[in-house]
Amino acid sequence: MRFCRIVDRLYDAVPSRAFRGWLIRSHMERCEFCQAGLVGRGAARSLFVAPEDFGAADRLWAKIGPSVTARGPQPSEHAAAPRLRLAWAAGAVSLFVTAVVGFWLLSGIRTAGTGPGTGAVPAADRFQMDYVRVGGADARTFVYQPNDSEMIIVWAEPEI
Amino acid sequence: MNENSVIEGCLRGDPEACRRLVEDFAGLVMAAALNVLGNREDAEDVCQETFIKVFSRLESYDPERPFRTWLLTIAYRRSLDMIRKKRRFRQFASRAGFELAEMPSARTANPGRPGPLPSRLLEMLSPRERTALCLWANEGYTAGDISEVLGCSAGTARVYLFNARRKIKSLLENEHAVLQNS
Repeated sequence: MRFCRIVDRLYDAVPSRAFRGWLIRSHMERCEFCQAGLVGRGAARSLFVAPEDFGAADRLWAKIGPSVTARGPQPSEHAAAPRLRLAWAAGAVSLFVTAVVGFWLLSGIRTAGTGPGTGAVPAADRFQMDYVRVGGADARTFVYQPNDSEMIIVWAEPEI
Repeated sequence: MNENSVIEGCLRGDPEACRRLVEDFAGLVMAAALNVLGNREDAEDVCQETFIKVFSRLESYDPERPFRTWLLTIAYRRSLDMIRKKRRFRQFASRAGFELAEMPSARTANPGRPGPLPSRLLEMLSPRERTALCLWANEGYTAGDISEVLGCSAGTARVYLFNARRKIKSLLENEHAVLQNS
């Protein structure tokens, strides 16, 4: 009984629901003394209105009936579930295909060799200029690639 | 016609099955709403909204679970929403300086029908405590079942129920002492 009073004071002092729930579960629900301080099911039931206190539901049906019956048949869960699952599967597959194709396209662009940073082949070997004219005369051409740089400079000047 | 065949009929759009469902459960929903709201007009609104929601969401009902619990969950959550809505409106009205008109009580308007709050003792409980106590007393629900309806943990439902039972016991004892003294 003395322990019950301590538990009771702890319950009032600590407003944490988790702690109170634990106190109830671990002590109050099992202790006869604590149970005596709670209203019983019968007494509690007498405070409430029971479903039997209400009569026929004609008025309620008159209010909601037209909107319910106008809605027509609902797709049953058994019929709706496979359709929903199929839609989710189709969505997932198309997303996967889009991701794979996108990845393939992007990686194709990167490895196609059109950009300056492709491979370790020297810049001069990757250019072939058969014919360059500047101001109507044949020109000399130079290809530069600065060290540690992706940049390539092509220089053309008239032959003097 | 058992419960499952009534539900299947409703899913097919059979008006007779829909009517049967309302007839079978209207009392339960009305009692649940009135026990929490304590006002007949609001309870009737909640009852109507509950059934409209039930019919519109019936395809999402899991037949493995009891229909009664699913229905009561909708009814109690609608009732708690209604309390929240009214509280917000009262706060807004007091800030804006409106005066709310007093409506005649349901008991005077409809003699012989269940009136506002079944017992004035229940006014001393919070709506969630009232819901927990009502489910425990009327339906025989455990803390786990109550937590499903209230959408909280079982521990929290246990606290609501415990507080409600303790408050009502002490109020009943006080009332009894006052009666004896007088």
